[in-house]
Amino acid sequence: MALKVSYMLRETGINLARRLTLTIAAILTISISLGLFGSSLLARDSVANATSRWEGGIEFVVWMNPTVDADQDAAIRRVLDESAAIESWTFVNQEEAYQEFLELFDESPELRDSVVPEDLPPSFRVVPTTKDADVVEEIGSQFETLPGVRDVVFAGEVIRSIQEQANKISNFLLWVSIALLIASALLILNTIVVAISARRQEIEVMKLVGASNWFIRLPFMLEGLIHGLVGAGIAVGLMYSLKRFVIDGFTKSQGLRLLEGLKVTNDELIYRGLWVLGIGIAVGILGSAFAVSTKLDV
Amino acid sequence: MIKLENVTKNYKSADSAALRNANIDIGKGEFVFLVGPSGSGKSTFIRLLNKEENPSEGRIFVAGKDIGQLNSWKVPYLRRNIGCIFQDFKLLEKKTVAENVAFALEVIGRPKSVITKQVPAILELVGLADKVDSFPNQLSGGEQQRVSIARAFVNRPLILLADEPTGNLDPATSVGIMRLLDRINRTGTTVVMATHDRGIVDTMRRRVIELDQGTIVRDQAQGVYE
Ligand SMILES: Nc1ncnc2c1ncn2[C@@H]1O[C@H](COP(=O)(O)OP(=O)(O)OP(=O)(O)O)[C@@H](O)[C@H]1O
Ligand SMILES: [Mg+2]
Repeated sequence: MALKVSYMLRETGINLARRLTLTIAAILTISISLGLFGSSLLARDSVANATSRWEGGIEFVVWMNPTVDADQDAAIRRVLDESAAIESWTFVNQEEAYQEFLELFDESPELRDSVVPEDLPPSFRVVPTTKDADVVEEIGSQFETLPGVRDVVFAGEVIRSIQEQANKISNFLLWVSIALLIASALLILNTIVVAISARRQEIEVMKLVGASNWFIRLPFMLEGLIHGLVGAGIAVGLMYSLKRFVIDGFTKSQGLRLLEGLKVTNDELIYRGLWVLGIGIAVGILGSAFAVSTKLDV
Repeated sequence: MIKLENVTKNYKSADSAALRNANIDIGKGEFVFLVGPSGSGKSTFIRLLNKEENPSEGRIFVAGKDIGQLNSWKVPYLRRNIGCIFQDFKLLEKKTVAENVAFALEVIGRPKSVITKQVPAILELVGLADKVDSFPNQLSGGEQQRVSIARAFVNRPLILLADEPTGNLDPATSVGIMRLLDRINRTGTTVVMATHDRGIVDTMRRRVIELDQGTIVRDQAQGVYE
Protein backbone atom coordinates (compact mmCIF):
# COMPACT_ATOMS: atom_id res chain seq x y z
CA MET A 1 0.00 0.00 0.00
CA ALA A 2 2.85 2.34 0.88
CA LEU A 3 4.26 1.65 -2.54
CA LYS A 4 0.93 2.46 -4.18
CA VAL A 5 0.66 5.83 -2.46
CA SER A 6 4.21 6.78 -3.38
CA TYR A 7 3.62 5.50 -6.92
CA MET A 8 0.49 7.68 -7.28
CA LEU A 9 2.23 10.76 -5.91
CA ARG A 10 5.30 10.22 -8.08
CA GLU A 11 3.29 9.69 -11.28
CA THR A 12 1.05 12.67 -10.53
CA GLY A 13 4.11 14.80 -9.83
CA ILE A 14 5.72 13.73 -13.10
CA ASN A 15 2.52 14.55 -15.00
CA LEU A 16 2.34 18.00 -13.43
CA ALA A 17 6.02 18.77 -13.99
CA ARG A 18 6.18 17.52 -17.59
CA ARG A 19 3.51 19.94 -18.69
CA LEU A 20 4.43 22.80 -16.41
CA THR A 21 3.16 25.57 -18.69
CA LEU A 22 -0.23 23.89 -19.14
CA THR A 23 -0.39 23.20 -15.41
CA ILE A 24 0.32 26.85 -14.60
CA ALA A 25 -2.24 28.03 -17.15
CA ALA A 26 -4.89 25.73 -15.73
CA ILE A 27 -4.18 26.73 -12.14
CA LEU A 28 -4.10 30.45 -12.93
CA THR A 29 -7.37 30.34 -14.83
CA ILE A 30 -9.11 28.49 -12.08
CA SER A 31 -7.71 30.79 -9.38
CA ILE A 32 -8.75 33.92 -11.26
CA SER A 33 -12.24 32.60 -11.97
CA LEU A 34 -12.77 31.36 -8.44
CA GLY A 35 -11.21 34.54 -7.03
CA LEU A 36 -13.76 36.60 -8.98
CA PHE A 37 -16.53 34.27 -7.96
CA GLY A 38 -15.60 34.47 -4.29
CA SER A 39 -15.14 38.24 -4.46
CA SER A 40 -18.58 38.71 -5.93
CA LEU A 41 -20.03 36.65 -3.09
CA LEU A 42 -18.13 38.72 -0.51
CA ALA A 43 -19.23 41.97 -2.15
CA ARG A 44 -22.79 40.73 -1.96
CA ASP A 45 -22.38 39.84 1.71
CA SER A 46 -20.85 43.16 2.60
CA VAL A 47 -23.58 45.18 0.92
CA ALA A 48 -26.22 42.95 2.49
CA ASN A 49 -24.61 43.54 5.88
CA ALA A 50 -24.53 47.28 5.35
CA THR A 51 -28.12 47.47 4.24
CA SER A 52 -29.68 44.57 6.10
CA ARG A 53 -32.32 46.81 7.68
CA TRP A 54 -33.46 47.87 4.26
CA GLU A 55 -34.19 44.59 2.58
CA GLY A 56 -37.53 43.32 1.31
CA GLY A 57 -38.91 46.70 0.28
CA ILE A 58 -38.63 48.32 3.71
CA GLU A 59 -38.68 52.08 3.10
CA PHE A 60 -38.68 53.45 6.62
CA VAL A 61 -38.13 52.40 10.23
CA VAL A 62 -40.06 53.77 13.20
CA TRP A 63 -37.66 53.70 16.15
CA MET A 64 -39.38 53.62 19.56
CA ASN A 65 -38.00 54.76 22.88
CA PRO A 66 -36.57 51.85 24.89
CA THR A 67 -39.01 52.86 27.61
CA VAL A 68 -42.13 52.67 25.41
CA ASP A 69 -45.23 51.39 27.21
CA ALA A 70 -47.93 48.97 26.05
CA ASP A 71 -50.51 51.64 25.23
CA GLN A 72 -48.12 53.60 23.04
CA ASP A 73 -47.06 50.39 21.31
CA ALA A 74 -50.69 49.39 20.65
CA ALA A 75 -51.44 52.82 19.23
CA ILE A 76 -48.65 52.55 16.69
CA ARG A 77 -49.75 49.08 15.66
CA ARG A 78 -53.30 50.35 15.13
CA VAL A 79 -52.12 53.15 12.84
CA LEU A 80 -49.91 50.75 10.88
CA ASP A 81 -52.75 48.25 10.41
CA GLU A 82 -55.32 50.86 9.44
CA SER A 83 -53.22 52.82 6.96
CA ALA A 84 -54.13 51.92 3.38
CA ALA A 85 -50.72 53.14 2.20
CA ILE A 86 -48.88 50.46 4.17
CA GLU A 87 -48.50 47.04 2.66
CA SER A 88 -46.81 45.24 5.57
CA TRP A 89 -44.62 45.80 8.60
CA THR A 90 -42.52 43.82 11.07
CA PHE A 91 -41.79 44.50 14.70
CA VAL A 92 -38.22 44.07 15.94
CA ASN A 93 -38.14 43.75 19.73
CA GLN A 94 -35.26 44.64 22.02
CA GLU A 95 -33.82 41.13 22.07
CA GLU A 96 -33.82 40.96 18.24
CA ALA A 97 -32.33 44.45 18.06
CA TYR A 98 -29.61 43.24 20.40
CA GLN A 99 -28.83 40.26 18.14
CA GLU A 100 -28.55 42.61 15.17
CA PHE A 101 -26.27 44.85 17.17
CA LEU A 102 -24.05 41.89 18.11
CA GLU A 103 -23.70 40.90 14.48
CA LEU A 104 -22.81 44.39 13.40
CA PHE A 105 -20.16 44.83 16.09
CA ASP A 106 -18.86 41.32 16.46
CA GLU A 107 -15.29 42.54 16.17
CA SER A 108 -15.56 45.22 18.85
CA PRO A 109 -15.86 43.33 22.17
CA GLU A 110 -15.60 46.56 24.24
CA LEU A 111 -18.70 47.93 22.58
CA ARG A 112 -20.58 44.64 22.83
CA ASP A 113 -19.94 44.28 26.53
CA SER A 114 -21.13 47.78 27.29
CA VAL A 115 -24.61 47.23 25.86
CA VAL A 116 -27.54 45.14 27.13
CA PRO A 117 -30.83 44.47 25.27
CA GLU A 118 -32.69 46.96 27.46
CA ASP A 119 -30.57 49.80 26.08
CA LEU A 120 -31.70 49.22 22.52
CA PRO A 121 -34.78 50.66 20.91
CA PRO A 122 -37.47 48.36 19.50
CA SER A 123 -38.58 49.28 16.00
CA PHE A 124 -41.24 48.85 13.35
CA ARG A 125 -39.93 48.18 9.84
CA VAL A 126 -42.46 49.31 7.32
CA VAL A 127 -43.11 48.35 3.70
CA PRO A 128 -45.38 50.97 2.06
CA THR A 129 -47.44 50.27 -1.03
CA THR A 130 -45.44 52.83 -3.02
CA LYS A 131 -41.76 53.56 -3.50
CA ASP A 132 -42.28 57.20 -4.46
CA ALA A 133 -39.91 59.08 -2.15
CA ASP A 134 -42.26 62.03 -1.49
CA VAL A 135 -45.23 59.84 -0.65
CA VAL A 136 -43.08 57.61 1.57
CA GLU A 137 -41.84 60.72 3.37
CA GLU A 138 -45.41 61.83 3.98
CA ILE A 139 -46.53 58.43 5.28
CA GLY A 140 -43.52 58.07 7.53
CA SER A 141 -43.54 61.52 9.04
CA GLN A 142 -47.00 61.06 10.53
CA PHE A 143 -45.38 58.64 13.02
CA GLU A 144 -42.82 61.17 14.21
CA THR A 145 -45.28 62.93 16.46
CA LEU A 146 -46.88 59.85 17.99
CA PRO A 147 -46.10 59.21 21.66
CA GLY A 148 -43.29 56.73 22.35
CA VAL A 149 -41.63 57.31 18.98
CA ARG A 150 -37.98 58.37 19.07
CA ASP A 151 -37.53 59.02 15.36
CA VAL A 152 -38.31 57.80 11.88
CA VAL A 153 -35.49 56.87 9.48
CA PHE A 154 -35.97 56.60 5.72
CA ALA A 155 -34.12 54.26 3.40
CA GLY A 156 -33.56 57.06 1.00
CA GLU A 157 -32.30 56.91 -2.50
CA VAL A 158 -28.68 56.43 -1.51
CA ILE A 159 -29.29 53.05 0.09
CA ARG A 160 -31.48 51.97 -2.81
CA SER A 161 -28.90 52.88 -5.39
CA ILE A 162 -26.11 51.22 -3.44
CA GLN A 163 -28.15 48.03 -3.34
CA GLU A 164 -28.96 48.22 -7.02
CA GLN A 165 -25.45 49.01 -8.16
CA ALA A 166 -23.94 46.40 -5.89
CA ASN A 167 -26.31 43.78 -7.20
CA LYS A 168 -25.50 44.71 -10.77
CA ILE A 169 -21.77 44.54 -10.16
CA SER A 170 -21.86 41.29 -8.28
CA ASN A 171 -24.15 39.71 -10.87
CA PHE A 172 -21.79 40.79 -13.59
CA LEU A 173 -18.81 39.36 -11.70
CA LEU A 174 -20.76 36.17 -11.13
CA TRP A 175 -21.39 35.64 -14.84
CA VAL A 176 -17.83 36.50 -15.80
CA SER A 177 -16.55 34.07 -13.19
CA ILE A 178 -18.89 31.31 -14.36
CA ALA A 179 -17.63 31.76 -17.93
CA LEU A 180 -14.05 31.61 -16.68
CA LEU A 181 -14.89 28.55 -14.61
CA ILE A 182 -16.12 26.76 -17.70
CA ALA A 183 -12.89 27.82 -19.41
CA SER A 184 -10.85 26.38 -16.56
CA ALA A 185 -12.76 23.09 -16.60
CA LEU A 186 -12.04 22.82 -20.34
CA LEU A 187 -8.40 23.70 -19.77
CA ILE A 188 -8.07 21.02 -17.10
CA LEU A 189 -9.79 18.55 -19.41
CA ASN A 190 -7.34 19.33 -22.20
CA THR A 191 -4.34 19.17 -19.91
CA ILE A 192 -5.41 15.69 -18.81
CA VAL A 193 -6.09 14.62 -22.39
CA VAL A 194 -2.55 15.69 -23.28
CA ALA A 195 -1.20 13.85 -20.23
CA ILE A 196 -3.08 10.70 -21.25
CA SER A 197 -1.88 10.75 -24.84
CA ALA A 198 1.71 11.36 -23.71
CA ARG A 199 1.45 8.15 -21.67
CA ARG A 200 -0.36 6.00 -24.23
CA GLN A 201 2.31 3.31 -24.23
CA GLU A 202 2.53 3.10 -20.47
CA ILE A 203 -1.23 2.83 -20.25
CA GLU A 204 -1.25 0.06 -22.87
CA VAL A 205 1.34 -1.90 -20.89
CA MET A 206 -0.51 -1.30 -17.63
CA LYS A 207 -3.68 -2.73 -19.13
CA LEU A 208 -1.79 -5.73 -20.50
CA VAL A 209 -0.19 -6.68 -17.21
CA GLY A 210 -3.44 -6.25 -15.31
CA ALA A 211 -3.21 -2.92 -13.48
CA SER A 212 -6.63 -2.22 -12.00
CA ASN A 213 -8.78 0.40 -13.65
CA TRP A 214 -8.51 2.77 -10.71
CA PHE A 215 -4.78 2.36 -10.56
CA ILE A 216 -4.59 3.61 -14.15
CA ARG A 217 -7.11 6.42 -13.65
CA LEU A 218 -6.01 7.77 -10.30
CA PRO A 219 -2.85 9.70 -11.25
CA PHE A 220 -4.84 11.60 -13.88
CA MET A 221 -7.74 12.25 -11.53
CA LEU A 222 -5.28 13.44 -8.88
CA GLU A 223 -3.70 15.79 -11.40
CA GLY A 224 -7.07 17.42 -12.08
CA LEU A 225 -7.85 17.51 -8.37
CA ILE A 226 -4.57 19.29 -7.67
CA HIS A 227 -5.30 21.87 -10.37
CA GLY A 228 -8.65 22.57 -8.75
CA LEU A 229 -7.35 22.54 -5.20
CA VAL A 230 -4.32 24.77 -5.77
CA GLY A 231 -6.37 27.17 -7.91
CA ALA A 232 -9.07 27.38 -5.24
CA GLY A 233 -6.43 27.86 -2.54
CA ILE A 234 -5.05 30.88 -4.39
CA ALA A 235 -8.59 32.17 -4.87
CA VAL A 236 -9.26 31.93 -1.12
CA GLY A 237 -6.04 33.89 -0.56
CA LEU A 238 -7.37 36.59 -2.91
CA MET A 239 -10.66 36.67 -1.01
CA TYR A 240 -8.84 37.00 2.29
CA SER A 241 -6.83 39.93 0.90
CA LEU A 242 -10.02 41.55 -0.36
CA LYS A 243 -11.53 41.39 3.12
CA ARG A 244 -8.40 42.29 5.02
CA PHE A 245 -7.12 45.15 2.88
CA VAL A 246 -10.20 46.54 1.13
CA ILE A 247 -13.47 45.81 2.90
CA ASP A 248 -12.06 46.10 6.43
CA GLY A 249 -10.63 49.45 5.36
CA PHE A 250 -14.15 50.64 4.48
CA THR A 251 -15.54 49.31 7.75
CA LYS A 252 -13.13 51.41 9.78
CA SER A 253 -12.95 54.45 7.53
CA GLN A 254 -14.02 57.80 8.93
CA GLY A 255 -13.79 59.73 5.68
CA LEU A 256 -16.02 57.46 3.63
CA ARG A 257 -19.06 57.53 5.89
CA LEU A 258 -21.20 56.16 3.13
CA LEU A 259 -19.22 52.91 3.07
CA GLU A 260 -18.73 52.51 6.78
CA GLY A 261 -21.41 49.86 7.09
CA LEU A 262 -19.67 47.67 4.51
CA LYS A 263 -18.24 44.65 6.27
CA VAL A 264 -17.63 40.94 5.98
CA THR A 265 -17.40 38.78 9.08
CA ASN A 266 -14.78 36.08 9.51
CA ASP A 267 -17.53 33.48 9.51
CA GLU A 268 -18.75 34.73 6.17
CA LEU A 269 -15.23 34.61 4.76
CA ILE A 270 -14.77 31.02 5.95
CA TYR A 271 -18.18 30.01 4.63
CA ARG A 272 -17.58 31.54 1.20
CA GLY A 273 -14.01 30.18 1.20
CA LEU A 274 -15.34 26.65 1.71
CA TRP A 275 -17.75 27.22 -1.18
CA VAL A 276 -14.88 28.24 -3.41
CA LEU A 277 -12.74 25.26 -2.34
CA GLY A 278 -15.65 22.91 -2.97
CA ILE A 279 -16.26 24.33 -6.43
CA GLY A 280 -12.53 24.18 -7.23
CA ILE A 281 -12.38 20.52 -6.25
CA ALA A 282 -15.55 19.79 -8.21
CA VAL A 283 -14.26 21.53 -11.35
CA GLY A 284 -10.91 19.72 -11.11
CA ILE A 285 -12.53 16.32 -10.65
CA LEU A 286 -15.18 16.93 -13.32
CA GLY A 287 -12.62 18.07 -15.90
CA SER A 288 -10.31 15.15 -15.29
CA ALA A 289 -13.13 12.60 -14.92
CA PHE A 290 -14.46 13.64 -18.30
CA ALA A 291 -11.01 13.33 -19.89
CA VAL A 292 -10.41 9.97 -18.22
CA SER A 293 -13.78 8.51 -19.15
CA THR A 294 -13.57 9.57 -22.79
CA LYS A 295 -9.87 8.99 -23.47
CA LEU A 296 -8.74 6.22 -21.17
CA ASP A 297 -11.22 3.46 -22.02
CA VAL A 298 -10.69 1.45 -18.82
CA MET B 1 -7.18 -24.18 -19.03
CA ILE B 2 -8.66 -22.53 -22.15
CA LYS B 3 -11.95 -23.49 -23.74
CA LEU B 4 -13.83 -21.92 -26.63
CA GLU B 5 -17.46 -22.87 -27.23
CA ASN B 6 -18.92 -21.90 -30.62
CA VAL B 7 -16.99 -18.63 -30.61
CA THR B 8 -17.59 -16.21 -33.46
CA LYS B 9 -16.07 -12.76 -33.77
CA ASN B 10 -17.42 -10.14 -36.15
CA TYR B 11 -15.63 -6.79 -36.15
CA LYS B 12 -18.04 -3.92 -36.67
CA SER B 13 -16.30 -2.58 -39.75
CA ALA B 14 -15.66 -5.95 -41.42
CA ASP B 15 -18.11 -7.84 -43.58
CA SER B 16 -16.93 -11.40 -42.87
CA ALA B 17 -16.22 -12.99 -39.50
CA ALA B 18 -12.62 -12.84 -38.17
CA LEU B 19 -13.30 -16.03 -36.24
CA ARG B 20 -16.12 -18.42 -37.07
CA ASN B 21 -17.74 -20.95 -34.74
CA ALA B 22 -14.50 -21.98 -33.04
CA ASN B 23 -14.48 -24.90 -30.59
CA ILE B 24 -11.18 -25.57 -28.86
CA ASP B 25 -10.01 -27.10 -25.62
CA ILE B 26 -6.45 -26.40 -24.47
CA GLY B 27 -5.22 -28.19 -21.36
CA LYS B 28 -2.93 -26.91 -18.62
CA GLY B 29 0.72 -26.94 -19.63
CA GLU B 30 0.08 -27.41 -23.34
CA PHE B 31 2.12 -25.63 -26.01
CA VAL B 32 -0.03 -24.64 -28.99
CA PHE B 33 0.91 -23.05 -32.30
CA LEU B 34 -1.68 -20.98 -34.15
CA VAL B 35 -0.89 -20.94 -37.87
CA GLY B 36 -2.61 -19.70 -40.97
CA PRO B 37 -2.28 -17.05 -43.65
CA SER B 38 -2.35 -13.34 -42.91
CA GLY B 39 -5.82 -12.20 -41.86
CA SER B 40 -6.95 -15.71 -40.91
CA GLY B 41 -7.78 -14.65 -37.34
CA LYS B 42 -4.74 -15.62 -35.23
CA SER B 43 -4.38 -12.27 -33.49
CA THR B 44 -8.12 -12.12 -33.00
CA PHE B 45 -8.00 -15.53 -31.29
CA ILE B 46 -5.30 -14.25 -28.92
CA ARG B 47 -7.05 -10.96 -28.17
CA LEU B 48 -10.23 -12.81 -27.28
CA LEU B 49 -8.35 -14.83 -24.63
CA ASN B 50 -7.23 -11.82 -22.59
CA LYS B 51 -10.49 -9.98 -23.22
CA GLU B 52 -8.99 -7.21 -25.32
CA GLU B 53 -11.88 -8.14 -27.60
CA ASN B 54 -15.20 -9.77 -26.77
CA PRO B 55 -16.74 -12.55 -28.86
CA SER B 56 -19.86 -11.76 -30.86
CA GLU B 57 -21.20 -15.23 -30.08
CA GLY B 58 -20.17 -18.17 -27.95
CA ARG B 59 -18.42 -18.54 -24.64
CA ILE B 60 -14.76 -18.51 -23.61
CA PHE B 61 -13.50 -20.15 -20.42
CA VAL B 62 -10.10 -19.34 -18.94
CA ALA B 63 -8.98 -21.30 -15.88
CA GLY B 64 -12.53 -22.58 -15.51
CA LYS B 65 -14.15 -19.12 -15.54
CA ASP B 66 -16.54 -17.84 -18.21
CA ILE B 67 -14.73 -14.59 -19.04
CA GLY B 68 -17.80 -13.20 -20.80
CA GLN B 69 -19.39 -12.94 -17.35
CA LEU B 70 -16.54 -10.87 -15.87
CA ASN B 71 -17.28 -7.37 -14.66
CA SER B 72 -15.01 -4.80 -16.27
CA TRP B 73 -13.28 -4.17 -12.93
CA LYS B 74 -12.36 -7.87 -12.73
CA VAL B 75 -10.70 -7.99 -16.15
CA PRO B 76 -7.35 -6.76 -14.74
CA TYR B 77 -7.32 -9.75 -12.37
CA LEU B 78 -7.85 -12.08 -15.35
CA ARG B 79 -4.91 -10.41 -17.10
CA ARG B 80 -2.62 -10.96 -14.12
CA ASN B 81 -2.91 -14.66 -14.93
CA ILE B 82 -2.07 -14.13 -18.59
CA GLY B 83 1.30 -12.92 -19.85
CA CYS B 84 1.49 -11.41 -23.34
CA ILE B 85 4.35 -10.89 -25.77
CA PHE B 86 4.27 -9.33 -29.23
CA GLN B 87 6.20 -8.94 -32.42
CA ASP B 88 6.97 -5.28 -31.52
CA PHE B 89 7.92 -5.95 -27.86
CA LYS B 90 5.97 -2.96 -26.46
CA LEU B 91 8.81 -1.90 -24.16
CA LEU B 92 8.87 1.57 -22.58
CA GLU B 93 11.77 3.44 -24.18
CA LYS B 94 12.39 5.73 -21.20
CA LYS B 95 12.76 2.91 -18.71
CA THR B 96 15.73 0.60 -18.29
CA VAL B 97 15.47 -3.15 -18.68
CA ALA B 98 15.04 -3.61 -14.93
CA GLU B 99 12.53 -0.76 -14.70
CA ASN B 100 10.48 -2.18 -17.57
CA VAL B 101 10.15 -5.47 -15.74
CA ALA B 102 9.61 -3.84 -12.34
CA PHE B 103 6.85 -1.69 -13.84
CA ALA B 104 4.70 -4.78 -14.43
CA LEU B 105 4.87 -5.66 -10.74
CA GLU B 106 4.62 -2.11 -9.49
CA VAL B 107 1.37 -1.32 -11.28
CA ILE B 108 -0.37 -4.35 -9.84
CA GLY B 109 0.61 -3.22 -6.36
CA ARG B 110 3.34 -5.74 -5.51
CA PRO B 111 5.43 -4.70 -2.50
CA LYS B 112 8.90 -3.31 -3.07
CA SER B 113 10.54 -6.26 -1.31
CA VAL B 114 9.01 -8.65 -3.86
CA ILE B 115 10.06 -6.43 -6.76
CA THR B 116 13.69 -6.15 -5.69
CA LYS B 117 13.88 -9.91 -5.36
CA GLN B 118 12.00 -11.06 -8.45
CA VAL B 119 13.27 -8.64 -11.09
CA PRO B 120 16.94 -9.73 -10.95
CA ALA B 121 15.87 -13.38 -10.74
CA ILE B 122 13.72 -13.24 -13.88
CA LEU B 123 16.36 -11.25 -15.79
CA GLU B 124 18.86 -13.93 -14.86
CA LEU B 125 16.44 -16.56 -16.17
CA VAL B 126 16.08 -14.85 -19.57
CA GLY B 127 19.85 -14.33 -19.77
CA LEU B 128 20.00 -10.56 -19.38
CA ALA B 129 21.65 -10.26 -15.98
CA ASP B 130 24.36 -8.04 -17.48
CA LYS B 131 21.90 -5.67 -19.22
CA VAL B 132 19.68 -4.59 -16.32
CA ASP B 133 20.57 -0.91 -16.66
CA SER B 134 20.47 -0.72 -20.46
CA PHE B 135 17.68 1.06 -22.28
CA PRO B 136 15.64 -0.80 -24.92
CA ASN B 137 17.24 1.09 -27.82
CA GLN B 138 20.64 -0.17 -26.67
CA LEU B 139 19.54 -3.80 -27.12
CA SER B 140 19.24 -6.13 -30.10
CA GLY B 141 15.79 -7.34 -31.17
CA GLY B 142 16.34 -10.70 -29.53
CA GLU B 143 17.39 -9.06 -26.27
CA GLN B 144 14.37 -6.78 -26.36
CA GLN B 145 12.10 -9.77 -26.82
CA ARG B 146 13.74 -11.41 -23.78
CA VAL B 147 12.94 -8.31 -21.74
CA SER B 148 9.33 -8.49 -22.83
CA ILE B 149 9.23 -12.20 -21.96
CA ALA B 150 10.68 -11.37 -18.54
CA ARG B 151 8.00 -8.75 -18.05
CA ALA B 152 5.24 -11.14 -19.13
CA PHE B 153 6.51 -13.98 -16.97
CA VAL B 154 7.71 -12.18 -13.83
CA ASN B 155 4.25 -12.45 -12.31
CA ARG B 156 4.22 -16.26 -12.96
CA PRO B 157 1.05 -16.30 -15.11
CA LEU B 158 -0.85 -19.51 -15.83
CA ILE B 159 -0.93 -18.71 -19.53
CA LEU B 160 1.51 -17.05 -21.91
CA LEU B 161 0.11 -15.61 -25.14
CA ALA B 162 2.61 -14.85 -27.88
CA ASP B 163 1.60 -13.09 -31.11
CA GLU B 164 4.40 -13.67 -33.65
CA PRO B 165 7.16 -13.21 -31.05
CA THR B 166 9.86 -14.08 -33.59
CA GLY B 167 8.34 -12.06 -36.43
CA ASN B 168 11.08 -9.41 -36.27
CA LEU B 169 14.00 -11.73 -35.48
CA ASP B 170 16.50 -13.66 -37.58
CA PRO B 171 16.35 -17.50 -37.44
CA ALA B 172 19.27 -17.92 -35.02
CA THR B 173 17.85 -15.38 -32.56
CA SER B 174 14.40 -16.96 -32.96
CA VAL B 175 15.77 -20.30 -31.84
CA GLY B 176 17.00 -18.68 -28.63
CA ILE B 177 13.59 -17.16 -27.97
CA MET B 178 11.89 -20.51 -28.64
CA ARG B 179 14.22 -22.24 -26.16
CA LEU B 180 13.14 -19.68 -23.58
CA LEU B 181 9.45 -20.19 -24.30
CA ASP B 182 9.97 -23.94 -24.13
CA ARG B 183 11.57 -23.59 -20.70
CA ILE B 184 8.70 -21.46 -19.51
CA ASN B 185 6.28 -24.06 -20.86
CA ARG B 186 8.06 -26.77 -18.89
CA THR B 187 7.29 -24.92 -15.63
CA GLY B 188 3.63 -25.76 -16.32
CA THR B 189 2.68 -22.53 -18.08
CA THR B 190 0.27 -22.95 -20.97
CA VAL B 191 1.69 -21.28 -24.10
CA VAL B 192 -0.35 -20.18 -27.11
CA MET B 193 1.75 -18.78 -29.93
CA ALA B 194 0.66 -17.35 -33.25
CA THR B 195 3.37 -17.66 -35.90
CA HIS B 196 4.25 -17.68 -39.58
CA ASP B 197 7.58 -19.39 -38.88
CA ARG B 198 7.51 -22.75 -40.62
CA GLY B 199 10.95 -23.79 -39.33
CA ILE B 200 10.01 -23.31 -35.70
CA VAL B 201 6.72 -25.20 -35.98
CA ASP B 202 8.30 -28.08 -37.86
CA THR B 203 11.21 -28.55 -35.43
CA MET B 204 9.24 -28.14 -32.16
CA ARG B 205 6.49 -30.63 -33.12
CA ARG B 206 3.79 -29.36 -30.80
CA ARG B 207 0.04 -29.11 -31.15
CA VAL B 208 -0.87 -27.02 -34.23
CA ILE B 209 -4.18 -25.25 -34.80
CA GLU B 210 -4.59 -23.92 -38.32
CA LEU B 211 -6.98 -21.11 -39.17
CA ASP B 212 -8.20 -20.10 -42.59
CA GLN B 213 -10.47 -17.08 -43.02
CA GLY B 214 -11.59 -17.40 -39.40
CA THR B 215 -12.33 -21.10 -39.52
CA ILE B 216 -10.34 -23.81 -37.72
CA VAL B 217 -9.29 -26.14 -40.53
CA ARG B 218 -6.83 -28.34 -38.63
CA ASP B 219 -6.06 -29.27 -35.03
CA GLN B 220 -3.13 -31.66 -34.89
CA ALA B 221 -1.07 -33.02 -32.00
CA GLN B 222 2.70 -32.87 -32.67
CA GLY B 223 1.84 -31.19 -35.92
CA VAL B 224 3.75 -29.41 -38.66
CA TYR B 225 3.26 -26.06 -40.35
CA GLU B 226 1.41 -27.46 -43.34
N1 LIG C 1 -9.76 -4.04 -34.94
C1 LIG C 1 -10.24 -4.57 -36.06
N2 LIG C 1 -11.30 -4.01 -36.67
C2 LIG C 1 -11.82 -4.52 -37.78
N3 LIG C 1 -11.35 -5.61 -38.39
C3 LIG C 1 -10.28 -6.23 -37.85
C4 LIG C 1 -9.68 -5.74 -36.66
N4 LIG C 1 -8.65 -6.56 -36.34
C5 LIG C 1 -8.63 -7.50 -37.28
N5 LIG C 1 -9.59 -7.31 -38.19
C6 LIG C 1 -9.88 -8.18 -39.34
O1 LIG C 1 -10.11 -9.49 -38.85
C7 LIG C 1 -9.49 -10.44 -39.68
C8 LIG C 1 -8.51 -11.27 -38.87
O2 LIG C 1 -7.45 -10.44 -38.46
P1 LIG C 1 -6.28 -10.93 -37.50
O3 LIG C 1 -5.47 -9.74 -37.12
O4 LIG C 1 -6.86 -11.74 -36.42
O5 LIG C 1 -5.46 -11.84 -38.50
P2 LIG C 1 -4.03 -12.53 -38.26
O6 LIG C 1 -4.25 -13.98 -38.55
O7 LIG C 1 -3.46 -12.18 -36.97
O8 LIG C 1 -3.18 -11.89 -39.42
P3 LIG C 1 -1.60 -11.63 -39.47
O9 LIG C 1 -0.98 -12.94 -39.71
O10 LIG C 1 -1.41 -10.71 -40.63
O11 LIG C 1 -1.21 -11.02 -38.17
C9 LIG C 1 -8.82 -9.67 -40.81
O12 LIG C 1 -9.72 -9.71 -41.92
C10 LIG C 1 -8.70 -8.27 -40.29
O13 LIG C 1 -8.81 -7.35 -41.33
MG1 LIG D 1 -1.80 -11.03 -36.31
